[in-house]
Amino acid sequence: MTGCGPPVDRGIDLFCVLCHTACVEHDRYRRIIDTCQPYLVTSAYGTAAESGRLPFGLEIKPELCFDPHRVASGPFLHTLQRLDELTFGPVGMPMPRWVFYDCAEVPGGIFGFARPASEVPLWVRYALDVPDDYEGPVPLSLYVAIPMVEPGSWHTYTMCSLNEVAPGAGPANLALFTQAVGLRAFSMQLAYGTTQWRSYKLGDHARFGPLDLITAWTPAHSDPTTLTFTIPVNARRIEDALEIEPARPAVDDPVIRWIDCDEHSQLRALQADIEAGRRFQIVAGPVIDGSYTRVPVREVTS
Amino acid sequence: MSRPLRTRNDAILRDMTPFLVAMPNHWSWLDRSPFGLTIPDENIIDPTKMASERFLLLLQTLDRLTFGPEGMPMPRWVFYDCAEVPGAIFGFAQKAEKLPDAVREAIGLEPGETGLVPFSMYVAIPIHPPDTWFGHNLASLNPTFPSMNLKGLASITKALALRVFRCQVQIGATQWDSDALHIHTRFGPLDLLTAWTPAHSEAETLTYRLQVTEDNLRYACGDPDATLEYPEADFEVTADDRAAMQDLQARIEAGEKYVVVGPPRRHQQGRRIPVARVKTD
Repeated sequence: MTGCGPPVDRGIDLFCVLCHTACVEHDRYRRIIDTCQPYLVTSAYGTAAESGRLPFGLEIKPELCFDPHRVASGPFLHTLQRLDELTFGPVGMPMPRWVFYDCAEVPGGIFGFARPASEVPLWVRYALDVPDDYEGPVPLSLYVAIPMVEPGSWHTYTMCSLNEVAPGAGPANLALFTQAVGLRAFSMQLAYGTTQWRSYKLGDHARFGPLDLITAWTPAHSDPTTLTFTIPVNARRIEDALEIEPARPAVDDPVIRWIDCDEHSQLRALQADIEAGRRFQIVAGPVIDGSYTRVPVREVTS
Repeated sequence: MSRPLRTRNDAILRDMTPFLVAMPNHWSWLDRSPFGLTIPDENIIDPTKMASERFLLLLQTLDRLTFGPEGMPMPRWVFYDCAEVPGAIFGFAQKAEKLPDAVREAIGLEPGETGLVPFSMYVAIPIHPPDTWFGHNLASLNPTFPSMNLKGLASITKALALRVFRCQVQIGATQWDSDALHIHTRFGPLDLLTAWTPAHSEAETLTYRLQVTEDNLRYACGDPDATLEYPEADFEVTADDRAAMQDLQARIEAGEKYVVVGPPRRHQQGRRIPVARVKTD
């Protein structure tokens, strides 16, 4: 500890009062802050262009702001798509390039962390199909967010880090940290999200929880085992997500409904309960016991 | 109260029924009676409900029948994450039981299947809620079923959709050689934001901005009382002239402003799109 005092929550920023730097309590993520640089892809028409300051003393440098309307942004955007292909291709949901443009870059934005090509190992460059003569930044994580009809609400439907398919490509917990900073980068008040019950990402999302369930079984999606959730965004939730692993309830906790993620009948039953007007929250990440994956859900009665 | 909407094909408003797909918390933000044409409550579809599955699947069929041959059909997760949850989908539908057998078969309806069958849709997501939207999909089965008298369906669908969304500024992207440019230019001059777009699946994509007014919505529908003025063109871009697109893009990035001022016209060397330069002080 440097003696700067506890961080003061000013509503959106976690700055130390005395020295206006990221408090040393966030030294746990220092490796990301020191070795990776935040980037933002957004058009001049997106709300993301007006988004405010980043926490932890981070700043997005002008050369790391990419406008999809400019030809020069092409090589970086191509590498972003490659990152998405590597992480979502195996589950059959890679994002076509036009979807990146029409449904992310122009209406909203893409936030993440990158490293200069010169500092990225050759095997990472190879994995991302980075040309030999490319000297720009190489994205290691991405977080997509687009505005919703209701002002203040954003839909965050894609996030990933290269660590998922190439462990060690970036510092540990890069995806979690990207999500934490991304929630602030877009100045959102309520974040909607979608993921699958068996996705390892549910554990990361649950750290920002509890997650209010909008759907538990989603036939409108390519994968009906998709759940839709919301997270109210505030500094406390972000701080806790980075520092605290949510305590998993006891197996025999009477208020907890343990959802077996591979039992579709349970997902459908939970969805039927939601459609009947009952409210549920995911209170912690999945628990894997042998070949079983279960997620703790509780009903909200007040 | 605004005057009743007249279109180039009033049979669409008379014989088809409008629908809307949107999250329930968004319904109060949208106009559910555009130009006095009320969307029935039973036609307002909640994408989070299991019972909506069949209709949403038929939207995907509509998309596939419209765009399959062009190579950019929309995956189901894109419908959900990039339309139904954040934005909205408006269009016109017909009751399955009213459709000829040949049409039912082409769409893939089950024998005896009833319910709404979408024939057009306009998909948009907010950029700057509540008044700036990105329209990323306009589909119509008029070309697929030419005998059904659906002429004008795409324009009428987009016009009413923009009213439903309470859109004042619409951003969109299409290709220089796309038939859709005939429709988008009916709404008025299109400010060019890009002329060459390597960020898109097809670099020969233009991005445009449209200022939405009541007059241009009525004009696009074919209202005989509506008028719209277009600036005179300064030059034309041939739809397969990549060098011209790249040159125009360089000029846009240098700060010059251009507007598409009319529909493509057929020419011996291919389609040509009229463009005007906006004089800036």
